[in-house]
Amino acid sequence: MKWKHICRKLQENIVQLAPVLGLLILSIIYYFAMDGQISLYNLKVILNQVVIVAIVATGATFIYSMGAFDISLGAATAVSAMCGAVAVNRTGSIAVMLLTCLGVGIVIGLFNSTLAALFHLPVFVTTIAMLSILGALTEVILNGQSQLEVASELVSGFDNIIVKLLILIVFGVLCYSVFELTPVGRMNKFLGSNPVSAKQTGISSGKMSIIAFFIAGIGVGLGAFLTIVRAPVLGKTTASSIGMDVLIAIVFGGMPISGGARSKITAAMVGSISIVLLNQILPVFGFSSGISQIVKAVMFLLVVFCAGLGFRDKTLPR
Amino acid sequence: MRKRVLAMLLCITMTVGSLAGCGQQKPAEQAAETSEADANESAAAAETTSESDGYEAAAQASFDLSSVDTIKLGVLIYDSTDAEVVAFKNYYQNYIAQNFPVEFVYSEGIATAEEEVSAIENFINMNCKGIISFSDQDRVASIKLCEEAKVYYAVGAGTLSDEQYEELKGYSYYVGSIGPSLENEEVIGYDMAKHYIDAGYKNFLVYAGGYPYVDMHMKRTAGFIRAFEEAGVTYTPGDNGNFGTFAGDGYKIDTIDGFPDEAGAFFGTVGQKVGEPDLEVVLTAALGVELFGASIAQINPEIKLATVASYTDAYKEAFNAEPAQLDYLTGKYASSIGPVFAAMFNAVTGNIDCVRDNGNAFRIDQGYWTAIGTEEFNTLFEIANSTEKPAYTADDLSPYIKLVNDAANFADFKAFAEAYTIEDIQALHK
Repeated sequence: MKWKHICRKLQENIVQLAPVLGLLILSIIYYFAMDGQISLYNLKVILNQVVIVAIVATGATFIYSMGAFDISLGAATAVSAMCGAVAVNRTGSIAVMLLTCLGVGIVIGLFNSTLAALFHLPVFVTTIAMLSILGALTEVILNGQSQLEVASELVSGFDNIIVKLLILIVFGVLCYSVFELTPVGRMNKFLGSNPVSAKQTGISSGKMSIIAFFIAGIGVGLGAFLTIVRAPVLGKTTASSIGMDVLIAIVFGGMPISGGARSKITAAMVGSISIVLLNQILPVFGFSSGISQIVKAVMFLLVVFCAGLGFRDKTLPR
Repeated sequence: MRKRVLAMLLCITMTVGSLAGCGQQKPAEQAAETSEADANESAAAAETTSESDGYEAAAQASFDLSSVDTIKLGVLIYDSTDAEVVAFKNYYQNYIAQNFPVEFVYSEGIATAEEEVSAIENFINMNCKGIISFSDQDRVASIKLCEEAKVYYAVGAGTLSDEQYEELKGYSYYVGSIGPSLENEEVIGYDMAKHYIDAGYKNFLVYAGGYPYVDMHMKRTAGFIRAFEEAGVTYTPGDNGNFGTFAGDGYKIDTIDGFPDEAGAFFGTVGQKVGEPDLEVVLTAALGVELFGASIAQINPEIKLATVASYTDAYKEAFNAEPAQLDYLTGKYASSIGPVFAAMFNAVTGNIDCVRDNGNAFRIDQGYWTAIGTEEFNTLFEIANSTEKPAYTADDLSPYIKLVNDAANFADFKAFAEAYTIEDIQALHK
């Protein structure tokens, strides 16, 4: 009996620490893959690739922790970025560009959540509709052009790692505070664990989803701003991979897809770094892009499976 | 619980098995080491690889670069499944890498400027010494990024605008570009339209591709317009710089532009326009077979289709279909990217000076080959895709590589790269 208890505790601890251990292992593999020669430039490249996904994923954690699922994050980022690009091209002001990105990101988020609350639809369903609408909007904004360009001189001053890290840290601390230190995080997790019980205790799922999408919208807006700064030429497929990257990052970071009590705001950061390291490591070992995709898919399944070990049986009935 | 673990283990075993079956390619570095240890075994391995990918036996070059360590080069590609990209990869992977101490690594398909930046960053992180680009999302940013990282960058097939070239030509790590100039794009459009006008055709459909947003499509279309205007047709430009309309002098010229959309409306319009009675010729600035081939085959196979593309298997099938889907092709050939490799190889081996144009990056014009009719296409296709002797063999490239020929210089290299016609290439091998 005692052994069984120790084993269960050990299993729980391993599951808890698995994402960090995974990140540590990936870091060690990366170190050896680079023959121990990791320069500041290498670290800068990794941070550059981490930052956008990490910011959008951190905001999206609020949605995912409720057990909701947003597949339109990439399209929302693209539309916000395009509106920001149009704004900066018309005004020449970076402040206007940032505010436009944030505003559009938040409006899209609020529209998503209001739609879900008004029509009592699952959030996943409204985001499917939004995916189509936002895709069409990108074409409208492009107005027949293949690309929308922002003069690189306007944004190049912000294309440095200090600005990006600052934005990531400020937004990360803000999200951490709201998620861990206010009732918002607890209520979100409760809704994710058992929405019926949560509602019976007086938690409004509509109100919480509006808050969650508002914060996710800020993440989308900041991600859009950094997307323009990183590559000031936007096209129809800009940011198209962000939605999937965010999902993979959150899962790699150790957060259950179903949300709930084990949701962690740090999952986005841990997962984003893990996925970027994995992207760096696989080609070094000679994996072609096709094989890399398969490896990543298998790892994704493994992580989801491991994260669910010994947990699903204990989930309260919904 | 136990069943789930067993199921997962089974999945992993099957996946690992299938991955092993995929036959992960051995990095060239390892291959080079093998060749040092056992030359015969390496040659056999190279032959095996070649057989599976088209180059039956990568002809062994007459020079020896075995003392040079293997150099890693990144290649930026826009679509890993595109026939032209496949042909380029095949030439580099199965011919160049077998004759020079280089290992090529390829990006995933690049569709956005952001993906282009990430791909370059990944190459830099992988310790690539040079990058050859077939992607054109934001070349200026790419060249600046490489300059900052001290990694050489060359445009594999294409060119920079005058403004871009003036801004970037002095960059130390920008090697240069080899590809059709925009002037050349206009000329090929003109030649294509002129060919059919001279042959007496009067009823045309003109496809302008990404006009006015894609420079090369705009230039090719400008060539069409010039040829028609010379024939007495009046061209009226569209609003806001968009593609316009043609009228007059016994010609009937319909127009279409843009690309397929998710709703499928584009193909509906194509079908409708191809179905117009008496249509004789479809002139396309790009993607002729992809966008018009099926409609022409179904509605009226007698219509002549002309396009700009490349000498690849897909176009071979189109030319050799019964009846032929394609009548006129101006296109790139697989080993046209040989000279840019020679320049890059000089750069990464410390000899960039021998390919500097008065101390600056070069911008060399290399045009297309044109085939009219199936017979001519098949002849050019054989030369373009020769499995034994590509258009640019290792021995053809070696006089312009400083490590092989100490007298290598830019003037000779420029003359060599600019002599791209089929006659020039045939003269090389005589």
